[in-house]
Amino acid sequence: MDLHLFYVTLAGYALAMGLVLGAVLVPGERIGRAAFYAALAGFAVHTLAIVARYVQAGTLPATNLFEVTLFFTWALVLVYLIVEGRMRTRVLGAFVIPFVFIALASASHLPKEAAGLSPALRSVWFRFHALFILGGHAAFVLAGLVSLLYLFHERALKAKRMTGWTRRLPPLETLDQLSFRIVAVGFPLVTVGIVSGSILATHAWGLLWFWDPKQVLGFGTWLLYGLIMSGRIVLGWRGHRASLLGVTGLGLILAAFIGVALLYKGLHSFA
Amino acid sequence: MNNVIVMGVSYKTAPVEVRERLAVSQRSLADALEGLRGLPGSDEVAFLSTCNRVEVVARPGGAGERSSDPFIAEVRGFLSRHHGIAREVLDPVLYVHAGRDAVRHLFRVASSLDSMILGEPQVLGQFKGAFEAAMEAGTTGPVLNRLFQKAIQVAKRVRTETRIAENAVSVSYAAVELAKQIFDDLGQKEVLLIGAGEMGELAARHLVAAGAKRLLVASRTIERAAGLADELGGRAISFEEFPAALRESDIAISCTDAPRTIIHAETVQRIMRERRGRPIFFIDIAVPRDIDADVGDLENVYLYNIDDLQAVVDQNLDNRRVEAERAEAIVAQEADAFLDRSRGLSAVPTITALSEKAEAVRREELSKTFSRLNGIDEKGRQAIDALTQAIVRKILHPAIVAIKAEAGVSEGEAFIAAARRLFNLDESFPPHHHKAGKERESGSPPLEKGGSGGDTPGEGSPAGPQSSAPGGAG
Repeated sequence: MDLHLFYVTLAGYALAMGLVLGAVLVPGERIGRAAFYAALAGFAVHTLAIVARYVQAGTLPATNLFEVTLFFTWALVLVYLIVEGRMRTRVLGAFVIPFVFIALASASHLPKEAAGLSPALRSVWFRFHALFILGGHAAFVLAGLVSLLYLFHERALKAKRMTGWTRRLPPLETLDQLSFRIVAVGFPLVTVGIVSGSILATHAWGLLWFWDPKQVLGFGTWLLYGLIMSGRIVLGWRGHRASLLGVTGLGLILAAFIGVALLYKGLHSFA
Repeated sequence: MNNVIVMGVSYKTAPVEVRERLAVSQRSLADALEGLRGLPGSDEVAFLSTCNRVEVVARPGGAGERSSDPFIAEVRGFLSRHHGIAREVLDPVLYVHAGRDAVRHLFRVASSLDSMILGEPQVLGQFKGAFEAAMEAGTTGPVLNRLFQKAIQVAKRVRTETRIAENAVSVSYAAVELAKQIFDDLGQKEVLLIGAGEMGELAARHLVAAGAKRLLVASRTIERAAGLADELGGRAISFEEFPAALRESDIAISCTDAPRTIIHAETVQRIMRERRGRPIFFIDIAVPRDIDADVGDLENVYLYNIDDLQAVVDQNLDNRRVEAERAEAIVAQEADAFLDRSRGLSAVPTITALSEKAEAVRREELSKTFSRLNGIDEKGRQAIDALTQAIVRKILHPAIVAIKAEAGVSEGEAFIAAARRLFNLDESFPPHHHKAGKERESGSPPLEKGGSGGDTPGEGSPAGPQSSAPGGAG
């Protein structure tokens, strides 16, 4: 079984988490760079773990909550590594890596056997749907974390508090633009994911909308990000307001992910 | 190293009236160094003169293990004579550090731990300057060279491993730092200076130096605005134009002598709509204040007044004090390590290293020769072996005797350092030392400044320029 790879991934992120938290506290570049490489190494094993599962099961590993978590955190780390490679701000990692670690560590208590897909779902649209929805939402989560950093930094600046970790954050404007750009990448992905999901649903059940809570929440999230995007582009929203909405979106996604998975057994109970 | 002394006055011990008398300008520095070296019992000296401190760093020479007290008295006398200060004034404010304290003190000074403004960066430059001047005047030797180089290295280490030099400690610079926390790229930002107060001018100057794209100056007297704009590379506008200019400005510094506030929340709210929410940073340095306090509550608007900036500076200073404790630990550790290493510059290990090196060379050459000479018998081998041993012993004998004799003398360290260098005992030069000797100009730069490669190259080289400096008297 490929669980060895999973635990090595977990160990890699645990190391990266320790280092990245150290990098925020201790001056100098070295620890931060080490943290980046540890995360990179964790990510490489993470990728292997997913590929191994794919080869073993013959389907996209997104059939149960464990697999979806594995996949989702993978996409999140991917986007994070791209941003980190360009921005070199360790503080973002101090939020993302622990987030990923906790998600994966909690997922290790879940049943890990790949669930058989119902024949109705064995279609190329399922892969499209899963890939794009998960990738897009990973982008939203990262953007939400960046917005959260924005709000922390803004509060410190408004309160004229110059101590503590916030002063090592990137400038407000940088955070704001970054969050906007990540949402701008995530939004089309999620849109494609929703469209392919609709096609999948009509093919499989001949029905587009069936008041599945995840469907409702997911659509609500999509509307919210549509609002953020148009507010930013058309109305020139930025800074405080845009960040507040971004954090709201983060909350919504987490609620959908955790809440529905725990409370509801339906078509999407796994994801 | 144990006989190094540092004596001088600083802002902590002496008022400016005394410090300014003792201070030495760049031009007359050579004179002072020359005078100090001429003192009886003087060997190596350097002179550090900044606005906050004047210090003599010296290593008294002379034969025998006598105390440095007579030399200290000489320096006191010299300072009093040379600078025209009565001993009654000088003596109570003059501090003297010796041995370990002297080393630690120098490390602290270079690392800006003893500065009036903790962590300020200028002192390291002045420290380097004092060292270079003394080297140029030929008044330093191997001991002070090693000491100063190490102090510079320690200062760099303190600066990279602690946050002592981070964050602004002046009000006007704090404004720049805050702007950098808000804006992505100051090169894209426009600055508006309202009023021509001195503090505002200083903040604007810093912002321009930090790369701000454009500066507008609005003042009630247009001549003043024009003059200032000219000086700072900006453009003057009339005072009435400033509300309109706020639409395009990202940073507004207000420093007028208006009796009431001149920028109100409603105005700014309207401007923010026109700016489509682009953030704006107000810096209100005027007293009484120019800007309504509620302006700071608006979305994407940041307002700092003079007290806020001062509070930022105070917090930064507090942070530096915390970092200073970590820096002190680094300095103490480095000073101990340095003194330990210096003790290694004593006779016995040097003689051992010298003998071992000669023996290694002898054996290597012997085995090369024997492998080439095929027809030689055991007796011949023994004869050659004995011959080479005798040659080596005879060549080394006077050197070993001299090293033993120097060990108890106060210049011993310098002598032993020279011996180690002559025989390349610290491997700080390329292995082909006969070649390196010829090409020393290119082979070993006079001042090795890269600190990352460990101690040896940094500490081995300073003797180079010293010994080859023209007119460098021994």
